[in-house]
Amino acid sequence: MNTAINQLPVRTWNWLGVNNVGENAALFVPQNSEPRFVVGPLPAGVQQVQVPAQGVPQSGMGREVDEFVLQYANASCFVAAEGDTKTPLLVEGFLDDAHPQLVAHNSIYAEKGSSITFVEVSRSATQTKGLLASLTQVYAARGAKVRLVQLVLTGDNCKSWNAVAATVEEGAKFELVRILLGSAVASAGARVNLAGQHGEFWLDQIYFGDTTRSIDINDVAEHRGEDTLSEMHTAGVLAGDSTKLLRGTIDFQRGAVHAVGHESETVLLLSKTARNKTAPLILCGEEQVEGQHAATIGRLNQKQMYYLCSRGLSPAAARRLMVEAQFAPAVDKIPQEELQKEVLELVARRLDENEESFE
Amino acid sequence: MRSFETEKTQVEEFDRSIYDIKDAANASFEVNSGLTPAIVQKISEEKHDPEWMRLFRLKSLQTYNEMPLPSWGPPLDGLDIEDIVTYVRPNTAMRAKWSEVPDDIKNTFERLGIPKAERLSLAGVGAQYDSEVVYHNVRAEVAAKGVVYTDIESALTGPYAEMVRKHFMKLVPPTDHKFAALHGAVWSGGSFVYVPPGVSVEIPLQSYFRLNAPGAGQFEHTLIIVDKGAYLHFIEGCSAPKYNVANLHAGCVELFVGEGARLRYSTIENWSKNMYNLNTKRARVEKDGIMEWVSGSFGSHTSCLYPMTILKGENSRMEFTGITFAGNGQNLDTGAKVVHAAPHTTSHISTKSISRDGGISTFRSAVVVAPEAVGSKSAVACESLMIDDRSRSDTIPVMDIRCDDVDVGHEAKIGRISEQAIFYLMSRGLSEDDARALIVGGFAEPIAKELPLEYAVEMNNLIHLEMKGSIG
Repeated sequence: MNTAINQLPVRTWNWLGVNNVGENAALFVPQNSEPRFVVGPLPAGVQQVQVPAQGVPQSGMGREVDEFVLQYANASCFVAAEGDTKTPLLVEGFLDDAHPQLVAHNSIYAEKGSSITFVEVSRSATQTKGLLASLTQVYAARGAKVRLVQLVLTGDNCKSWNAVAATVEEGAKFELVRILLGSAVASAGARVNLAGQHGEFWLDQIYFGDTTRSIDINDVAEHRGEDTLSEMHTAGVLAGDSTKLLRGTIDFQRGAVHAVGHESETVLLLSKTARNKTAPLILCGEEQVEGQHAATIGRLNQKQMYYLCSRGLSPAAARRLMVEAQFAPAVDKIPQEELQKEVLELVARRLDENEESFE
Repeated sequence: MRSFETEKTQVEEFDRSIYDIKDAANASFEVNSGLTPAIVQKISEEKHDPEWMRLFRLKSLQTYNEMPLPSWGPPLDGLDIEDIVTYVRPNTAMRAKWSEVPDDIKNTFERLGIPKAERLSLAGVGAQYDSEVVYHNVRAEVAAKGVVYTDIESALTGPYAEMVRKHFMKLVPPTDHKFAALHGAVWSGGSFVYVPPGVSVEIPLQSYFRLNAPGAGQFEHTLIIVDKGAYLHFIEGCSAPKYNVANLHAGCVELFVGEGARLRYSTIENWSKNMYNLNTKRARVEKDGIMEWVSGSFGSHTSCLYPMTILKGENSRMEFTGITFAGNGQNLDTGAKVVHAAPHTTSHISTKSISRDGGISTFRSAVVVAPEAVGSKSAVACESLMIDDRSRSDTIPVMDIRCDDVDVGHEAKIGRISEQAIFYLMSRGLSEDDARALIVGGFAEPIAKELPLEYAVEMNNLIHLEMKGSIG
């Protein structure tokens, strides 16, 4: 079996089952079907190009997934941004029984000093057994700002892979907002090469696991340039029999003088049978750095619940409020209000569906 | 107060001269290097093993041959088991008086301060030289309480034979990993301790392991059973002179902490820098029991050391306090593992690591909370300090939580001295260098205070330093 998907940058004990995903991309050779894939209107300053961005690293999901997407891509959107583009570019994929597979290769090249927001949304028909695989390659040239928002809202019979690879040059900033609310098996992984001085990578991520959903993540911030910054923050809820594995790595390479990396995760456990795994790595080959990681895993804070209920909220409303508060940093970065609303409604519905596990 | 002016501006290499004095190889018997069924049979014969142990060794050898090397961790390329002599019997039988131990061996332990420590501050001492225990003694008043402290070979055939058989390699089965299997096949020496119910051993017991023979392996087995409501502090020390060939230490420590009992296990590992230290330590803690680990890793070429605690009984708890100091040519992969397998269990892991002069230190941990461990709490904190950019410091923690009613926290930190802290101290009259030295001195303090005094002094020698641009 090929085991190169979502590989932990440095291996540890095999019995923990965190070194990689035990699946083989080669088993998912897609049918030759037309995808439903819609690229929204191009904002001023953004144009489609023929060639994807060059000089980006392997994605966080690894070579196997990258090669899979490059070989079988049935949809693509390559763009280049110039200047300050105000409106976001929306790219939507949809899986249904007639279009069960979408393999999308997207690319964003942000010219010097430009800014662009790229929103990828994937949905599916409720019963469709579909496969979504995407590789998004990002090159942020000097001083550019790129915000990539990925919303995985596919149904419970789908499998999804969201691979991201980015290079961030001097003074550039790459923001990744990842919302993992769909798919029975949702895997994602970003590798960000902070190549230039003062380059920044911001990750705000949320997930909601319930039923038998399986979520598997592998994010890597590679600090190569001086004074680079990574801020990787994740909030999640696990209910039902769901499982989640978050690998998050801050890799300070030699020469990344004065680099700073922060990583955090807050996990709310709402079920006795959910399983949470977290593997937060800090790799360090440079002395003058500051790296920090913190994880908090447990139930809702009972004191806060008590306080909110004493102010007249029902337990369900109090729970919703607290979960929304944890999800807010990511949700607030979705540029379209209707998408924000869709995400919050989906979260509320999931909480309602899992009401019995709170009792 | 220390005078900062006289201190140097770099981290000094630890003075190892005491440890590096070699005795002439003067074994009364040793097996050929390498590992074959014939060698394992020979070791078993020489040690007059009971039949079950002979079979156990041969089965372990088979397991060893079938298992692959670990696919993670530091490289083990420099270690070839074909070059390792697995059994070296020193030229003496075990003694209960230092005066009866041959001079060369006795002098080695004198230099290491073991007999003196025994006189001053220990309830009993076991001293192993190469593959066999050469000295074992326990104070009469401690023995009178029913405390058993003996070499494990004697225990294997004496009145506690059944107890040893019941526990031997049950916590760490030979199938655990390749070097546990190797240990099962060629183990030799080590200590057996039994503390009866309700007995509190007020002063510590200590076993010291010295490997003198070049190209040899040391595979001692330590088995400690602390019965209901009892208390014991056990200290383990290890060292070896430096040779140009690889030496191997693949010991095994199995600790059974009974209901309401408490065991404190302190280790200062100071092997020479040609040593592959692939040691396995594990504890099982019953209801209301407490396991405390204090672990200092300073020596060896390569270390893989992750003491594991299984919190089996309700309300049991563990604390792990560790420091790792990796210098030139060293790759020290250390950490801890804990399994919460019962309700209301608590674990607290706190480590510090320092890498200097091209040394590599890796902190590796695993916290597993089983579904039945409701109301459990776990906190992990690790801090790393890099002295220069030729060194490496990696942190690889994993948490596997299968229970919703838990409180799990994890913190990892690597960084420089806070400029604010320096500014504050300077505003109180210290020079900048003094301020940095004070902060760095404080880095290791929480660990130093957990160590027995003589080891704390030893560690302070290591970390008596002043440096620039490091962590606070």
